[in-house]
Amino acid sequence: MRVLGIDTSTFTGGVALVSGDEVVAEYSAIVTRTSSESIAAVCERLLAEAGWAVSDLDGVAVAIGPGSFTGVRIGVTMAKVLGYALDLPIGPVVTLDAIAANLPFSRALVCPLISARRNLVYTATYRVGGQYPERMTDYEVRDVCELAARLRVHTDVDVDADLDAQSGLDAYSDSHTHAHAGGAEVLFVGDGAMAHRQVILENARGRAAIGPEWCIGPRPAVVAAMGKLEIEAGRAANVYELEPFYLGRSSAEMVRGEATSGGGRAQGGF
Amino acid sequence: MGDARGRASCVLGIETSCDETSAAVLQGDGSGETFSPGLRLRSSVVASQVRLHRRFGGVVPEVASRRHVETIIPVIDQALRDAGVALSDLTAVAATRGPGLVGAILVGLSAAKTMALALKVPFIGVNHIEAHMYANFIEHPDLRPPFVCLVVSGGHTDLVYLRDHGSYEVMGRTRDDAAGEAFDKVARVLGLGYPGGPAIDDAARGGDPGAVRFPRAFLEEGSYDFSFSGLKTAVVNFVRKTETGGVPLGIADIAASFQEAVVDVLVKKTVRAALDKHVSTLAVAGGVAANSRLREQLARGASEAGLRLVSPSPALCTDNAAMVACAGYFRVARGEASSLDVPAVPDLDLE
Repeated sequence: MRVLGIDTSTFTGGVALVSGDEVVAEYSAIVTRTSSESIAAVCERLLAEAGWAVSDLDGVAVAIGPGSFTGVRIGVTMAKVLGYALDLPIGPVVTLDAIAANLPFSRALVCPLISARRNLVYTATYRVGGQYPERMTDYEVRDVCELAARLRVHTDVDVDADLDAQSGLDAYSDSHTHAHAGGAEVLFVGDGAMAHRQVILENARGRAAIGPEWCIGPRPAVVAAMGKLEIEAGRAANVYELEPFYLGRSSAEMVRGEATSGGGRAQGGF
Repeated sequence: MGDARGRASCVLGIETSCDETSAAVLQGDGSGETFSPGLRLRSSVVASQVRLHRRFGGVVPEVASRRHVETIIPVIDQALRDAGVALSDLTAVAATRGPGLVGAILVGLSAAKTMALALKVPFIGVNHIEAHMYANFIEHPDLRPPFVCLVVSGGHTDLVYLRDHGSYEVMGRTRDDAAGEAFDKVARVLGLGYPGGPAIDDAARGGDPGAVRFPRAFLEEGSYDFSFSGLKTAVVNFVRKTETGGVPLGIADIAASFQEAVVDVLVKKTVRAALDKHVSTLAVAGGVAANSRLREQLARGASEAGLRLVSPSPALCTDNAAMVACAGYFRVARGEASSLDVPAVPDLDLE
């Protein structure tokens, strides 16, 4: 199966072509909004370099967010149009899942943090003992300071504390039972981890680490591979139903919230 | 793409620069340098978000962008079905790339680029103001440049000299509010609701346009620029004074008088611009061009000056993709195409 993967959901972005288990071509860049607009041109170039025609494609994978509202809309719209025009199945990939997949076969827990507005981050916590991440928590929008404070509480408690794995940090304390000498138990990755490095490390007291900068965003090849898995598992999205994963206020909530706050204008993403 | 020249052409247009998600299919014989009797609008689908934004009294950009993503495929699909054409019949895809709300534009622009990539046909990024002017070519196959066109909408008030296809001179523009913006604000003050253009047009029907002499800003001698904020303030102050003075508020008279002040300036400047450029044709476009009093007075002004007036039917005045397809059609006919790199530009210049 030949799949084109698209990611414009964070400030890294790119395109990849995968065929079966092989990554045929991949382009990734730290993008601004302006360059995420040119992703269609990148698709065109990458297909040409790989010697593929659009008619060679068997599916499209796309990172659906959470992340930049505008970026996510660009990627989702492109995937919808490719799906519609070429009658292709679409494999949606949650951006947090794709970032967690940057760090496979690890004993540490992985906690991607994607910067949202103000001090908020989009996050979830994963076990990554195998090739693909296994999500242990809900997808959440969290305040970094609150997250750091909880990190401090959890490093104070008994390592065998039997906490319900509801949030990333509860999962973190759970992981203490798997702690190994000298290694960090939770790996924070993503632009949110980079931006809030200090507060995380201070509160974790040696039990957390910040992932390397090359794991900051989703790799297009990972998005393509994970999207392909979705398609193969029969979980392809319908072009009419595929939606951005905003993880926050829904449009309906936004409209209702705006209506009650007296007609002010919503801020357009970030 | 030079090979498109002279061949039958079938253009998909996409427009998402504000609060309408729109797609249209326009077919022609491929000629664009001379008049084009074969030009035929096969379909025009507009999914309006007016009801969604009404409660805010204006367009909320994030809400508009979200709705565009939800609606874009159904709207494109409907346009192709209405037109009775297959994707493989399309020879080009055009979309608005500015001016407008950047997050909203990006949905339609990304869709159009990707569609062009998937179908291996040229993509054309179109200026929204240019597209409004090109709405005139759809229904007036004998229309040819040069002419002067008044583009008047909720976001724009531009007086443009269309020298030739693709060659424009902006003779004047608003220095503050767009004419449509003034309509929205005055409608709100008069309690007529949103959008203000049609509301004031309706309310003014029974009113006396000479009831109140509101100020007309002609600006300095010879200027083709516009200003509507003073007029707006004058209407607001008048309404307040009337309310506190206990004089019964004649909404119809106020609406008609306000509308007359806007129309008066627009008509006089547009006619003068046409005479100044020695053209024989005057055109109008944009949402406010659907206003019945403006159409009536422009027709009178043009006739008195011995000019021909062309205007799109009201459905092609407000934002629509047919006009985008038409602007794209003429560019393709001239052998033009845009790169897939072309960005959305919120304040894109016409010239």
